[in-house]
Amino acid sequence: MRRGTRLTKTGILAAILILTISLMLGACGNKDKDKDKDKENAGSSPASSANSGPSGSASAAGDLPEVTLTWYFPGNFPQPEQDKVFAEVNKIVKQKLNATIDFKPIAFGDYDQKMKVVIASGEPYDLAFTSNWINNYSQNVAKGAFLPLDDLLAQYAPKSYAAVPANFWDATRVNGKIYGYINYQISARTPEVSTAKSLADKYGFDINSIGGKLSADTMNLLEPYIAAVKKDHPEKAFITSLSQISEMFTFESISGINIPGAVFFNDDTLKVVNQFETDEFKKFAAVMRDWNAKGYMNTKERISKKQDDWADAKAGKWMINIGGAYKPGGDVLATSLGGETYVSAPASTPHLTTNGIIATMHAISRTSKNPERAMMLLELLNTDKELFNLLNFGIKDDHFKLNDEGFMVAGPNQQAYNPQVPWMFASNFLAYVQEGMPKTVWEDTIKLNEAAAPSNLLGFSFDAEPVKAEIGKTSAVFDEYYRGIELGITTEEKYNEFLKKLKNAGADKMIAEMQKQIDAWKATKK
Amino acid sequence: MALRAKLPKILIHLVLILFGILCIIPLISIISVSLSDETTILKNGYSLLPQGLNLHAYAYVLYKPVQLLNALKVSLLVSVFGTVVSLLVSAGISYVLSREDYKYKNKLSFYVFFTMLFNGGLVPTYMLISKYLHLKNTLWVLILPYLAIPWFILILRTFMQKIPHSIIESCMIDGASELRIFFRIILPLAKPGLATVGLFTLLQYWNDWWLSLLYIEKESLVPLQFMLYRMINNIEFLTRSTNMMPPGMNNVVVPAETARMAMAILAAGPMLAVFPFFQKYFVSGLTVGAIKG
Amino acid sequence: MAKATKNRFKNTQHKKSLQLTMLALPAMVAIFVFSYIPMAGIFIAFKNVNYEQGIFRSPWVGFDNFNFFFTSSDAWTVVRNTLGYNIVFIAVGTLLSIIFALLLNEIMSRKVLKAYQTMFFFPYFFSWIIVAYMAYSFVGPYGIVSGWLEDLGVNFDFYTETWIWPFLLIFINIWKGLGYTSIIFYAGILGISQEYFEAAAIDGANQFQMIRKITIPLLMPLITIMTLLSIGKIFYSDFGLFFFVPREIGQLYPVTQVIDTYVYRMLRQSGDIGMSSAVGLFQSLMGFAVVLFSNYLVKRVNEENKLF
Repeated sequence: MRRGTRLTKTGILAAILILTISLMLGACGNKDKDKDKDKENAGSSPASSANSGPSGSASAAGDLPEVTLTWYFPGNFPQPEQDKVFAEVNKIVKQKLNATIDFKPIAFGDYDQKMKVVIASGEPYDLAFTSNWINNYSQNVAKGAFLPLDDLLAQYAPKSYAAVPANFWDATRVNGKIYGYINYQISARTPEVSTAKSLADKYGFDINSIGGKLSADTMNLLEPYIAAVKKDHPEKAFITSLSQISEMFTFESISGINIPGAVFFNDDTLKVVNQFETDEFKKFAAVMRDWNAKGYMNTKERISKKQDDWADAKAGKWMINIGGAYKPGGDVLATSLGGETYVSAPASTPHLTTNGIIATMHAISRTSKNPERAMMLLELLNTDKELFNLLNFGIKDDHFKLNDEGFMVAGPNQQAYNPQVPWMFASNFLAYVQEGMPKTVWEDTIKLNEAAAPSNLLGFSFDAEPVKAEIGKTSAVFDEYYRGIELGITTEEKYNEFLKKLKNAGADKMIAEMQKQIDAWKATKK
Repeated sequence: MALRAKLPKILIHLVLILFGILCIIPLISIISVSLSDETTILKNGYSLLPQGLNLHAYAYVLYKPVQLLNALKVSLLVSVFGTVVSLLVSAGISYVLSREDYKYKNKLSFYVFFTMLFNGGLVPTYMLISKYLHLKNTLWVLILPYLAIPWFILILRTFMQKIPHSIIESCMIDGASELRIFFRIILPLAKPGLATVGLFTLLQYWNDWWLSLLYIEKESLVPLQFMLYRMINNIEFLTRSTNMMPPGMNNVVVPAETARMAMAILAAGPMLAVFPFFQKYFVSGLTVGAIKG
Repeated sequence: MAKATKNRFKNTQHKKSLQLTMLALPAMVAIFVFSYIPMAGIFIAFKNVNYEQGIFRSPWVGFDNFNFFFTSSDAWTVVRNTLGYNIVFIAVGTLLSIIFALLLNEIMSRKVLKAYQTMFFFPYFFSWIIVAYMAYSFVGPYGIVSGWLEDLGVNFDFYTETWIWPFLLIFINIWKGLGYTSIIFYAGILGISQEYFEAAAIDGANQFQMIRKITIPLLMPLITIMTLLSIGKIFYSDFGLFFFVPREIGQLYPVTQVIDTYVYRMLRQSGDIGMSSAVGLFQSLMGFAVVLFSNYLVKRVNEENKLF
């Protein structure tokens, strides 16, 4: 009996304790809010001072207070000498913007999850890479994770804003506001099919013969080649990943391939469907299943890895790869990633889509204490060719060299820094042209962008806010199943279970919401 | 007659030996793989005995081991510093809890052991550490959360309860302060308990990947276990960190499979080496009593 | 005079208490910060978190987050897995540990005993990541067991077959912990006074009778405490076992997903902190309720064996 009372007493004590802490925490939170207010006020003052002299950014550095900008980005990291390169970058940034970048390079495989946690916990950071395929743009906008950039763009990044076509910016708008800063590059997207040149030559495979012809129905075009190579090289496999081939299908996904909701390119009525329930996607899954049964996938080895990486290509385990985005000079990139000469072709006909445009962007965090400075940094990265290439290729004459014709070639120490993600840092068109690419590669790319057929949905961006909970759940379902689907181990029964789980997670509600928004958008367009 | 008496003994040994073998076979298998030849492994698969015995994997892992050495440094620093501080902190509270005459004994013991039964969960903890304490990407975050682990406090307290109270009383009569008694009398007497819990604490720190999984993204603060975790999925974390083959090995296949296992051996090795030093205290130190003793 | 002594005595008593409190203080602070403050964060479970407004100002949504979890098809799977695995771990683990402790107690030679203990303790020394490497070396694509099966003409892919994983995980968990728990029980047996056994021997009791009538009953308090502590954790799982050993393969989630990994994945894959906290709170509350209840039961049967 006595013990009983004592326990309750302690219990009450604990309860009071917890209550006190909650209150204390609450107070802290409020303090933070106050700080936010201060920040807003502070935000306006440098704005006005910058207004007075937007001309030379170099001279502006003197007046700017010193700040640190935290920048999260994905890529083939860590690189052995990344700290050395980042230090060099910071020297320039310090001089020009009086800022220091706190670099947070994260490996591709970890980036998505890392950002979810960083954003969810409300940690302060300034810049992050965002897109429709990693660190999902529309979902983050829906959760209020990013700042609207319209004013900041006009004020602090006029040059790079002007460099990107206006309809591109429109594609990033959610409810009329821009939340993503576009890293200008190839936007008319279709996946790239690539294979080692030595293999293609040996087995008489002309990659151009299939160029632009691939879809779920025509995957069998690749089969004779795969079968022939497989016979002599059992260690080599067919490689692809669902998140990278969304543009190969004849539909356009609305909030990323992992979220149900897509519209067929040729559908003028803009009817939203669940892409996983389309015959086309099912067909694709069936082909993968078939190929796995035929042993083309080396599933047994690959299932225990989250994703395939180019290290396996270097180890001679890749036969043919569909992924990334086809672009002029892409084979040169594949060559340096794969360690031997690669040939490549576009998988299907490229369309200019919202997805293609928002595939590479940066966003400024809601928690950023210096959003205007973050925008200045974006402007600098997208206008300063030398700085960009330092970040991109490393230190000149060490990690890379420029040859007599001005082409970028490998330096003596290229292995120590070669992340191979120019489109991730900033506008790809600032990059030194790599040897082997045509001199006019960037002009060609822009032409390709302009020539591509715009999709019916171009300019529409989905506001995911009303269905963000459903999105979280469906993407978790996708995460559980996608690897099995792309490796062809998902049986038909299992696939139906996947569809059922998506439904349970609210797929229909999301599709209805998408349809509603698209209909409203269509009405305004007319 | 003699056989009948012996039979159960033989059976006992048989069972114990079998399980003992089961315990060390996996270690042997990864050692074997790490000593094998990569191409043979890729062709034949792993085996319990090394195939084509060579040290390529180790040569590869240890050639310019910048990243590896750094991870080792982080792990060592955290483990040694963490263990010493944690042991002192835990011993302090354990001793107080073992004192029957301490006024708030019951309240304090509720305060400590309640956390074994109820906790705030992952999300609030994560937010506290990252957003309010700003401990992310610091060495502290790898040390502080494990300073006072209730389970270890429970073991230590049970051990200290066995120290006769008369010793403490006689010291008090001599006018020694509580602090003095604790450091001069209790700590030496509690050596077996401290050694046992010390080893567990050391293991806890050395083997921890959880804190680094959540709170570390700076390459220079990555401990060994976390490095190993990242290599599960991606051998590139290793290949990129060294990125070069040692001279004289240029014609050899990159020993990815074997190098991974070599790394695992290097990460597990130090603790296996430490074990014998603690072992003599083990049994006497590992007694567990009720929470309300 | 007497009063002065009494006062002085009271003062020293007070001083003693204070000094002892000081000794306990560092640990108290550490526990407060890392265990109690996060408890205050459980309110997140009742919020629909929006980053624009911050966690404190986000709207309250009552039990929506819980509803969301319980109506999903995952709820049943993860709760079933968590409880199922833990029940087997507790039952089989405790039983085997006691058996091994008894077996070890039969070994007279100190050297041999030490050799056994050392071997049994090996698995305990490896982190789950290293255990995952070991498991991979047996059942992975190049694994030893996979190889044997192939030699037998069976092409068995462990990472796609769900039915094998419950067996593997149970085996691995017991393999890793047995050395440790059996030594705890062994230490308990050593704590039993020899006099009992000597008296029993005089009465002509045999080994088995002694175990049944002396060792087990006297070990009961320890067994109960260990079991109660495990039951208190019945809604928790060893994250490393379920996260690393099956290598995060989605295909295997139906048999490898437990509450802990689910909360973690919820946080990392959908970034939904409200729901993730809700599941965490559910886990904590259920665990707490279960341990209170079982303690109550134990108390009714035998007051001596209770945990608190």
